[in-house]
Amino acid sequence: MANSSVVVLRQVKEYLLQGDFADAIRLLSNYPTLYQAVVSRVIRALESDPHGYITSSNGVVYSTKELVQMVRRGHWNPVLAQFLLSEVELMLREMGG
Amino acid sequence: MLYFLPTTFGVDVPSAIMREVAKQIDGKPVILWGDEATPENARKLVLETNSPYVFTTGHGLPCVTTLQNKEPFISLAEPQMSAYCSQELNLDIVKGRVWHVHSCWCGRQLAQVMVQKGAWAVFAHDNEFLFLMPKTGKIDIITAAPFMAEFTTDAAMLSGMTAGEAQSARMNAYERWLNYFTTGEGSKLDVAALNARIILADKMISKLYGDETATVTKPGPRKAFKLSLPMQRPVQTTSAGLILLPLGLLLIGGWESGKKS
Repeated sequence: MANSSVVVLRQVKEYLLQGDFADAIRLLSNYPTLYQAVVSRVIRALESDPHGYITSSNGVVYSTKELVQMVRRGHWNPVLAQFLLSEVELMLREMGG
Repeated sequence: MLYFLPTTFGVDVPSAIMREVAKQIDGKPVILWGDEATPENARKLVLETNSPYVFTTGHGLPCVTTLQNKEPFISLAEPQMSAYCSQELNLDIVKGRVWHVHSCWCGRQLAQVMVQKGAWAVFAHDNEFLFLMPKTGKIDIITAAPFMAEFTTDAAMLSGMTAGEAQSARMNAYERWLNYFTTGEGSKLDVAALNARIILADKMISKLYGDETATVTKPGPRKAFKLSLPMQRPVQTTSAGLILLPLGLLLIGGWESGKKS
């Protein structure tokens, strides 16, 4: 991916680290190809456990199926925002950025 | 050292793992388990034992960490955020100690106030700590991995490391587990890709607040732990999702509605 993608992903990561996932999604949405690449990776990871349940120390339980549907609809909740952050971090590492 | 390990509403998983870890890293762990892990008992024990290190787990919000049955243990008075934070609780017992507050969100606010109130250092999370739920009544490597990374913090502190060094050990442990699921033995598992992302997400929300030079014991041999997995889950739930979801939403709902107001 181009250097410009690294710049965008770094900024998305910054937003997510600050808990500002609305701005992160807004920025990423301005780059449809990149957005699609990130979303596809998030979905692929979630689908690696099609019958799984993810929970947190908050007690909310999500099925991975449910999360996949939310990503497809563009409904990013705090849990999905964390998956987005992980994905962006992994992509940056792969790109040496 | 003190370990407050509630077992209701899904936190039996971190509690069960920490109970095993504590036995291995601490010669004399003082554990409040399950129904013993009430805010009253915890407060009493902190004051009576004067322990320099306290591990507590339970559900959390930016303004509160809870114990058994989601009873608020340490809380700010932030009723607009959630009914769980209706009053200030137990901030008077934090002073001079190092705390590991293993609850969601507490790094956002509570941990920082604990430091302002005199806590020497606080390990906490500034977002939700994620994990894959056990598919059976047993906790396997998939579920345990994020906790094994996180609880490296406690092994490090009980080895006499400074809080800053323990934080580095914590981050390194997350990276080792990430490698395990991306390029190591764990990469062969079906859920490897998902667990790698969970571990990376948990790493990025795990922070240290306060004094990096804080210590709780003299430097000694490096403490380590090994879990015999799979291990029995203490609370059997045939449909954890159905049981946990509505209660979790109540907690989240309180905070979300508070944020909007």
